[in-house]
Amino acid sequence: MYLRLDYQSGEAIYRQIVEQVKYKIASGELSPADRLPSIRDLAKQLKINPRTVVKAYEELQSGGLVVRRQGQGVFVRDGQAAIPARTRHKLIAEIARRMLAEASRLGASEEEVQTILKDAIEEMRSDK
Amino acid sequence: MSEAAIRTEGLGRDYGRHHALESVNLAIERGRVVALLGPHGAGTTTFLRLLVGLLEPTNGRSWVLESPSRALPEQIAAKIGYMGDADEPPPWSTIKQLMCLQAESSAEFDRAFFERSMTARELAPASRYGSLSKGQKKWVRAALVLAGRPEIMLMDEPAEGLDPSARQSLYDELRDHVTEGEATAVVATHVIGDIERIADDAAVIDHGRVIAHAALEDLREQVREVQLPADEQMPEFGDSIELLGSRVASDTRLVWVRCAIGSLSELEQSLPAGSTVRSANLETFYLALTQHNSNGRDNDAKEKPK
Amino acid sequence: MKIKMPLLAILLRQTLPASLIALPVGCLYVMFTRNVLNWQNPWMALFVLAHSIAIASSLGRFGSPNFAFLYTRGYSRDELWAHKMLGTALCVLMVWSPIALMLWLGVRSAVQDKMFVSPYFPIMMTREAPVPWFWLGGYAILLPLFHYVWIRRAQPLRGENGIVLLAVGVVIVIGILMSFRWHPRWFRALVYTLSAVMIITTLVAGRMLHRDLEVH
Repeated sequence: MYLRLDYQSGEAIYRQIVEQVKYKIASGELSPADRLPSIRDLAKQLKINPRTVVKAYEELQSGGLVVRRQGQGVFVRDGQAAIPARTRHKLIAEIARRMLAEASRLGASEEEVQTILKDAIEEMRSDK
Repeated sequence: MSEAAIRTEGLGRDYGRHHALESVNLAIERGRVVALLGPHGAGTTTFLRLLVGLLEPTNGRSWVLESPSRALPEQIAAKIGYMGDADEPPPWSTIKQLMCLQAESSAEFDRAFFERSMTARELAPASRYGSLSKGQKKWVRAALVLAGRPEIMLMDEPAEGLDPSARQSLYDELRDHVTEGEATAVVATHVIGDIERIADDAAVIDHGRVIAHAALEDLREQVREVQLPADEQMPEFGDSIELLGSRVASDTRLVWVRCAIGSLSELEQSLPAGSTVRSANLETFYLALTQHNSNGRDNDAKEKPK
Repeated sequence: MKIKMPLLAILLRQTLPASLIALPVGCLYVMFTRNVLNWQNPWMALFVLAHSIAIASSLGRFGSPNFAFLYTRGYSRDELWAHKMLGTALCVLMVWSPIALMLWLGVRSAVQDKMFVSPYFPIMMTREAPVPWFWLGGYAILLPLFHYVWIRRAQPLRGENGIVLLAVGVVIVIGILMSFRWHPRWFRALVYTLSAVMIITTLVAGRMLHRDLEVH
């Protein structure tokens, strides 16, 4: 599993791992029942502390994206957890709101934001 | 709660009237890589030498693996790997002799690893230490420590003088060893960019005092650099936002702050229009603190009565 | 405590320059000196003194980067001290044995006879046979003392230099006592007792203080 970490981005490493794994699941790069690297292996691969990996995996687990099977490892959940549509909507809306606030602060126009969104969806489609 | 692999209580060392190190209270958990940041002379070398028992503290005490630094039993001494900044083996010693010397004291010396490290830099076992270049010497001394698979690694500027690829290899090996062996490492360095990759915690030493000790993950999320137009007043920050330092450079003012991730919106609200908030890397954090510290000291000096 | 050869080898090597000079000097002197050797011979006394100082100093450079390196290889203080003492003993034996053997095996007396036609030749071997033991005794007394001096000077927060004066005093006293022509009957017993006490004390104290010394 290839992950790219940015030590200068102001984002905690564990969060970067969570986000990238989320993206991989969403884009299909990781399929349900796929096994994620062991904590030890990922820590060695990324040259980070295993506790950081543990934190990332725990967050992924509490977010319903992965399950930990005792003695076997961490796996992508078969069939996504049934998050109620309203909760899902709320979560995504919050992310959208934050993104729009940041975009407007950077001086981007509505059209620019829409173009960027379109491009991102295209990219995810082509990754599948 | 994990036991502290390294612990100090009020540790201090004076040389005559000069306080090389003062009141250091540190507890380092097992399995962490701690980047000890500070320029030469700030006290990093003194600190490491106190930990390994080469020096006697003037105040306070330190423990490594729960044993007092000044009375390390044989089994504990064998588990500590130390790489001094200027400590060198005699120039006539050969690499092979040094390997044997280290191997005899370490409980589990990884000969294969050491030999691989030497071949990687094309260093023959029969080469005399004195004939090596500065970078090669560092490499050999670092490899000796790493090959001993110690539980505690104390490294004083291990990567200084190494070329970037050697630096990366060294730090990678160090990180691997800490992960594999659940070891603990304290690495003193003033080249901050490289160690940021593999360190878990940062401790900043300035003029003999530890002025910060924090987890890098926390710093990544919490430290921010704010850029303001210079003519703007210093903003009023709430209690949840810690001011680390500030500097005026040409027509902008840079302010470094630390606040919990939840207080970011509060931070943004207290800023005037035209300001930008950026993330800050470890080096920025270090510079903000040490500059702030020196500003504080200069101000103290100015306020002293004549 | 087992003997760790690599450590011993490095420590021995530190004393090599001193020994490389001492061995030929000692051999040449013993081979060619015309006077009958006795235990009061001042040149050999000086030789033992100088060699002992050289050994102790080469193994006592606690301010040098070499020692800082050696002291942080994972060996305990006691291990280091024990190997230092062992290295010292070996170094002394390496220099003393050839000299003593030259005397005992008759090389000296042969040279004295053939080259110098020495009138003392007949009695030389018997008269001089016990003398090397005095030299060894000299090493045995001086080396623990000098090691102690160097260790004491490396004590935390800079040990006092008073100990140097004390050692110098001891050496002077020994020198003076040696120079007397006649000694009372109980002198030998007194010397043996005092030496034994001093050797044991300096060794034990040296080992203890060695645990506390600082390497800068």
